[in-house]
Formats: sequence, C-alpha cells, structure tokens
Amino acid sequence: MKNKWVKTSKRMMFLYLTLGGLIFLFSPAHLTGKLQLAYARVFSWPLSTGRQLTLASRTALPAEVSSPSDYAQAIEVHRQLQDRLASLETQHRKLQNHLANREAQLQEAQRKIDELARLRTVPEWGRMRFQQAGIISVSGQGQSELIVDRGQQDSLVVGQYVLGDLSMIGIVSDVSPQTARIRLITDPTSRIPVRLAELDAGGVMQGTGSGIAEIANVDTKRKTPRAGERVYAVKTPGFPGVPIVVAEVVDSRRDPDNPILWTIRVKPVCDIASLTDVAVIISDRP
Amino acid sequence: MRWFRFAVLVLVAAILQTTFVDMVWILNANIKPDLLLILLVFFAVRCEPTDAVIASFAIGFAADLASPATGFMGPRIISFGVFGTLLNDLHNVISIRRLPYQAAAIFVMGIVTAIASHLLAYLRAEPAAFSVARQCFWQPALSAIIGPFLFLPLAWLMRMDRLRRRRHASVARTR
Repeated sequence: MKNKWVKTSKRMMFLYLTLGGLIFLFSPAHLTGKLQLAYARVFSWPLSTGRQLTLASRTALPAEVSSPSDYAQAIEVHRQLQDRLASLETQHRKLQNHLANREAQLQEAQRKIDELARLRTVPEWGRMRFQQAGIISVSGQGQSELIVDRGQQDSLVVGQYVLGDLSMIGIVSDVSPQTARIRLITDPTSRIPVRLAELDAGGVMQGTGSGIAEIANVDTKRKTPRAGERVYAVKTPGFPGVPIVVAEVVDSRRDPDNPILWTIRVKPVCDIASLTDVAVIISDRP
Repeated sequence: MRWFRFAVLVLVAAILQTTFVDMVWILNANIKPDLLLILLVFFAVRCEPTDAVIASFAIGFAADLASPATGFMGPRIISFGVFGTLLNDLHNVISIRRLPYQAAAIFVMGIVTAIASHLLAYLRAEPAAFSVARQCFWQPALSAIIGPFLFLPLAWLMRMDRLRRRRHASVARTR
C-alpha cells in the first residue's frame, strides 16, 4: 500500500513539474525575464565579484610559492608590465574605435557637404546622454547577452543602443527597475542595419552566436570585401545621427545562387569578454 | 534528502557556473564544464525516486535562471527534469557506481539535454545559436571528466554515501 502511494506520488510529481516547466516555456519572455533579472539583482555581488576575479585571472600569472626573492621580484615586475600592457591595449583599442568613429563622422560630413552644399554639421554625440553601466554577468548561448547593474530607475528602456569601448555592441532587450539585459550584436535574434564604408554597401547584420555575425545579400558593386574592413551601424529610430563603428569583416563568400551578392562574416571590434562596463545611449529626443 | 543543503549547493553551483567556471575553459572560452549537469547526474543516481524528480526539475530551473540559453525559461527545466527522472529510473535497472560509468552517464546526459533544450527552444521561438561540437561533445566531455571526481565531496556534503551506509548495515547485520 505504501509502495503504491510512493509510485503514484512520483508520477504525479513528475507530471506537475513537467506542467510547470511547460508553463515557464510558453510564458511571455518579459515575465520570465523578470525572474532572471531578479536573480541577477539579488546575487549581483557574488556575480560581479566572480566576474572581476575571472577577468583578473586572465591577465595575472600563476603565483609561485617559495621562490627566491629576486625571482619573485622579477615575477612581480613582469605582472605589473602585463597589467600595464593590458591597460595600454585597451586604450589602444578605444582610440582605434574612436578614430574609426571620427573617420566615419568625417565621411558623413563630407557627403553632406557634397550633397547639400552646406557646411553646417552638428556633432550628434553632444546631444546624446550616456549612462554608464557595470556588467554583472554574461549569459546566453555563445555569451551573447549581458546583464548590467542599471535599469529603469536610470532611464534605461528597451531598444536603447549600447556602446563598449566606443563601438556599438548591442541593444537593451529587457529592463527591470535596477538591472537590464543587453542583447549583443552576435545574438542570433539581433538584426541591425549596417553599412560597409569602403564598399559603400549596406545590409542587415544578423548574429550567428559564438561571437560572430553575418551580413547576407550584400551588393558590393564588384568589389571584394577585405578582412578588417569596418562596418558601421546606420541611422534607425533612437540612434545618433552619425554612424558608429560596430564590427569588422572577418571573411566573405559569394552567394552560390547570385554571384553578384556576398555573405560577409563580421566580428565585434570590441573585446566584449574583457569589458567591465558599457555606456547606454539615452536619447533626449522623443 | 537535505533540501536546505541541496538549495545552497545548487545556488552556489549556478553562481560558479557563470563566474569562476570561466577560468576553467579549455581550447575555447565557450567550452567549459557544466556544474549543474554534474549535479543533475549526481542527484539522479543517488536520490530516492521522488526526490530525484524534484531535484532534477529544480536544477533545470536553476540552469535556466542563471545562464539562460535563450531569452526565456523552460527548455532546461523540462529537459533536465525529464532526463534526470529517466536516469533515476535507469539507475534502478543498471547500477552507475564505477567512475567510467558515471562519466559516461554525464556525457550522455550532456548530449541529450543539450539537444532536447535546443528542440524545446525551437518550439517556443527562433532557434538560439547551437554549436554541435561544443554543446554535444566538448562541454559534456569536459563535464564527464571532472564530474565523477566531484561526486565524492558531493556525497559527503549531502550525506548520501549509499555504499558506505550499506556496508555499515551489512556489518551490523553480521554482528
């Protein structure tokens, strides 16, 4: 009798929990997303501390035990130099992106001059407000989402663009009062209109996961896309009036059905794995 | 079953999975052991049937909560729950005690839960990025290598050393 009760109980428990799982599966994403954000908020301290330690471990050398003092000093100096190098590399990457953004702004300004025959250009960056946000954790398949420590209370709303190292890295996809989720450009659900400056061609960039995105059906006007070429996000509602560098070309292949068109694989210009904070563009315009 | 210890253990594993496990990657930053998968197999083979069902679904819930594969929850709750329950049933027929068998169980569970999660996500919305090599081989393989060695401290922590308990019982019976 007792065994029968236990067997029935297990079966019923399995059914109830499966039903619960199905309810979760088919619940609206913004409801279940709130649970995930609440988890990130409650455990923000261990999550952010763990992430900082992980980032630190990537640059630090393994500690030596009971080594001679001069050897230990050499290691310490080496470690400091490594830290310095990492810092300089980050600054260099930022400056490169900054330069790329400036070049794009210059090209945009020249195009305006040529087409409209006027000199007046307004640096749109000045009109935008930025909200710095610290990264709590990286999630998603292929690390394609970030959870940050700013939310509705800091004027973040869904659809705002996010910068990392002065390049565009994604869009705010979900917000709670104190946290927000950022869908990176490499996420398979991310679609962003972009322009390849050197080819003077445009297309829609879609993430493929694993740190890569693709621009399909690009008419390159008989030019061959080159690796390293910059890709810029173009104007959409809520976006600053100037192009912002978003990715660089990794490789490309012709469309087998239509050889005029190319499929171009790109990767973010920013090393997202080493980012500790991002800037969210908060437009003052409606 | 000590449910409070279980909750703390799952919570700690979920936090470690999204933070410190990033340091343990091999070949590629995305290939790393899945602590929650290891816990799933551990509780599925060590718990009583009803406890195993609850534990499997709870670990799936933690997996979906902590490191969601998609923008929504559910795929891993169901896949972990269903396959954890199946493993528990299977364990009643085939004993999974030796280290190679435990490693094989983790490897197979890693593959089937990854495929099931992906298919469930496909039901719900657009498919998420799915790397067959990474999710169906490297990650389960790495978990299978590490997992059996974690079973001993886990068994001690959860006071679930069945073998030892049986031995004690048989010794007491002979006396």
